[in-house]
Amino acid sequence: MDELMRSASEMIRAPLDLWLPASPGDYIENPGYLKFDLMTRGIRVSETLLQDLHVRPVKDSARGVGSGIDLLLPEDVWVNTPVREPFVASSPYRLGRDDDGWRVVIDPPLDEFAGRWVSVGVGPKPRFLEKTLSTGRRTSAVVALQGELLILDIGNREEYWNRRLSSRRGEGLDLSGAEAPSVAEALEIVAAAAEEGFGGDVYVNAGLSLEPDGGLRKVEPYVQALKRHFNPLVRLAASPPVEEAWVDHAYAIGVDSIAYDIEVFDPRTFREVAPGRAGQIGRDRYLERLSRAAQVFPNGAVTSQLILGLEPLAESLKGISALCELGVLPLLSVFRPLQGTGLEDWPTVETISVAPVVAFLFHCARRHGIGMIWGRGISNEMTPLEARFFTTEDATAQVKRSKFYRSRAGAVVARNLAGLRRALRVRTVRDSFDSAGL
Amino acid sequence: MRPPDAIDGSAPATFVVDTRPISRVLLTRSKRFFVLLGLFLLFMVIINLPVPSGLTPKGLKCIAVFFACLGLWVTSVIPLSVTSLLAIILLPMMGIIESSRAYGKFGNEAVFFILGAFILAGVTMKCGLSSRAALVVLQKFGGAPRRLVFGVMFCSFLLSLMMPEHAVAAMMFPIVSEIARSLGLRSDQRKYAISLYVGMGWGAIIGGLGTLLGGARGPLALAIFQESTGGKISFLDYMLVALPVALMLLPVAFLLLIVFLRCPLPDVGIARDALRARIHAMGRMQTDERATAAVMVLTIFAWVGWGHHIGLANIAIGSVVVLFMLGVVQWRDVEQYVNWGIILMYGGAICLGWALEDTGAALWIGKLTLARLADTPFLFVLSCAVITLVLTEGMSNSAVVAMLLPLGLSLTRDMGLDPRIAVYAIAIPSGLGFSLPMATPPTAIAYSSGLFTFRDVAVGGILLDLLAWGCFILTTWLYWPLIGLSLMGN
Repeated sequence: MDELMRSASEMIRAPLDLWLPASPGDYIENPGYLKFDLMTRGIRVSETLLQDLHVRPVKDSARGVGSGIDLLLPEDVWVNTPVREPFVASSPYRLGRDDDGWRVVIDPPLDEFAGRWVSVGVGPKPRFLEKTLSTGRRTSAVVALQGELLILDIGNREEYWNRRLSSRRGEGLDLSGAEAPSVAEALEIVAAAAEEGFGGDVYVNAGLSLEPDGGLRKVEPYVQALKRHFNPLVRLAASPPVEEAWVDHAYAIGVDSIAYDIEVFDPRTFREVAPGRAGQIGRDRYLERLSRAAQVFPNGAVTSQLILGLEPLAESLKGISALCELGVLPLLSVFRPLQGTGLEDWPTVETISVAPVVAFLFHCARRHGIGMIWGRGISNEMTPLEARFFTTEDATAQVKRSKFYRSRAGAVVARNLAGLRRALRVRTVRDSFDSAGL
Repeated sequence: MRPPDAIDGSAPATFVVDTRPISRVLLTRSKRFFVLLGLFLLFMVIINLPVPSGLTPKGLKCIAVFFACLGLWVTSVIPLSVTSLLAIILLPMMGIIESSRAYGKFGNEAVFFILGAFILAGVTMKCGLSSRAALVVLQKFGGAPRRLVFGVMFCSFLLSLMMPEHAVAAMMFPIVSEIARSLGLRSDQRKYAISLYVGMGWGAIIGGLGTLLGGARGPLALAIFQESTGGKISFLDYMLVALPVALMLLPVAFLLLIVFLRCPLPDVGIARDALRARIHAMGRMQTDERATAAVMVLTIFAWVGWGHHIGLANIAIGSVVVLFMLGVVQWRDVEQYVNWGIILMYGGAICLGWALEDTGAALWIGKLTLARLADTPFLFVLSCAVITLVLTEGMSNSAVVAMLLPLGLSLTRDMGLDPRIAVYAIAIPSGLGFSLPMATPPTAIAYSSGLFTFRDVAVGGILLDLLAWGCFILTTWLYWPLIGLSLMGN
């Protein structure tokens, strides 16, 4: 950890401000540590409790694999924590409920802290997820609600997890039967979600695409239809396109925030863990398109996920630093080994051991002046603003801004500002030719 | 010209995202609003001023319209053609001239001459005649690297004597690109490629000076002259004055080009082979080409020989009708090649110029501005040329003519000079923009190669501007008296 601290301090050219809990039992008092620990270790919850009570369906997480339940921790921190993986059985956390509401309770094996608890919220189960669409499919079969985001998964999951194309993390998984919603279905879902106050933030996942456009042509009709009918903030996760003009195109058609998830920064590990992506897309293209996107999109609206635990933590530090230098907001997730996959024996990380990296995330993003509000409402990744809990900083101004944009008025302001910015910045080439008199 | 559409996986060239700081983007985007507001306020202030001595109330209103249109032409916040339409409606609405006269001026002979010239140029391009001519000329010059540069320049020059310079540049651009590509230039030979593109642009500009066909500014000047004075300048008259300037400039520009863009010279044998292959691919001259060539030759002879009697526009439109009769052109070709915006622009500019002259506003402004700079005929020509040259680097050369010529014509009459002097002193320098991409379409097209920036050709371009001005002044001093253009008062 000392080595990590030293590296992090050198990168931010100041001693790393890191808050360390006295013991693992104290995690429960800190929403940041608790989020990370829950993401890593999961939470035990009885099936009866899940089925009897009105919580969101235990939804596939992280692009189609693993399980997860959304919990709202204190300080408005969302976490998506595994519930069905084998490693959950050894988690010290249990989801309980009494008359006062839901609780995360510490149980054995952390005996000395057993009985400590914290009140949490559970992602409410909206009615629209239970609806049957006019096409006969169930809404919950084609979308998910994660944190505050409505997830439209229109990518090809099998392709994403196919070893040749993507990652050894998903080797051997059965991913059949997940068909993407049509544009009409997507509109029907967002309309129903909007009636219940959801759908202001739509996360469109294009999955992995080897097309030169990075999957944008497939996404375009969804984005345009959503913008035309509901004008939500559209976040897009896609593959980096071959030509940078596609990045501009994505912004122009209505994408408000874009993610090219590099996941692993170290070139050698990247090749080893994601041989398909390394061979057919390449790490450099990720960084180049992220750089362009950071110029085109609003400050903080370009994100890239780094997965802690897949590469040495020193490389993760370098990754955070490199992304911040490009103007990209790094988001951290944690590696969860899945049984039957190529990396089922890969060691997992301890929350305490990654604390300097997470603290560095906050400091590095702040040092580079990257806006942190676009990270709001995300449950399966640690955002730089949430990483403040690993430091002694309270980031009051950023937190207030984030709270404002989560409010109903703030959402309206955000949508209109996004539209205004696009209207100012985007010009059609035809206009340029006309004005040149050619 | 339309942006290319995306094919397969290539990125669509549909949108451009302005990534400058938002404050600068806002400033740029609000420019239109502030310019329009400013011009409206200026317009309101002028029409509410007390009428100065020497000016009629109609003259004052005409000045208000003139400055409003001038502002719109210079800033281009709305298309030039729309500004002209605004002029046409404002003049009768403000009681300066009657509606029927305003719209009547729009049907000026020059407008139809330009229309005919555009259609003829379009047919020449469509049937491939212009490309064939360019390739044949280039092949003759392709033996040595510098000869090839001169060949590109000369070819553009030659074609611009017969068709609009922007059309020549647009037609030559792919040929020059192919030559540059086929040479497989090394990085230290980049300047050679630049010299090919710049040579193409400069050649087209210089050729465009030589006759009334090179650009629409010449016919516009003639129309304003005719409306203001009732006099006529023939195709040959104009050519006799303008062509020597162009002929002097061509070698000067070539020398400048090879001095400022010196670099290791490539082997151009490959380019010659590429040109030969392209000519071979075109095959034998087709019937359409032969017919077009014959009509073009006859038309040019008619312009030179009988233009004064038959009328330039009549010959141009007559030739177009013949081409339709021969079946070498379809109406959809005309729609593709004719720049209707330019036609509209000229109609309005002619109307405004006439109104300025008719109300005495042009003379009044001219006395306040140009006359103070130039109290002798020679100084008048000198000042007109300098002002035109400077303005044309930043705005459309036709707009410069529309703006300055009515003033110049009034002053020449006031000074007792031959009014044709004002036409030549403004129309010819208005085509001498060699530095900035916005100065003339050929320069803009050369810049669009993306191979060079303003800094790469700045010194050469500015020097050529000065030398061009010098050549023009030299001809006014030594040559004009020989053809009966006296700078002495009547």
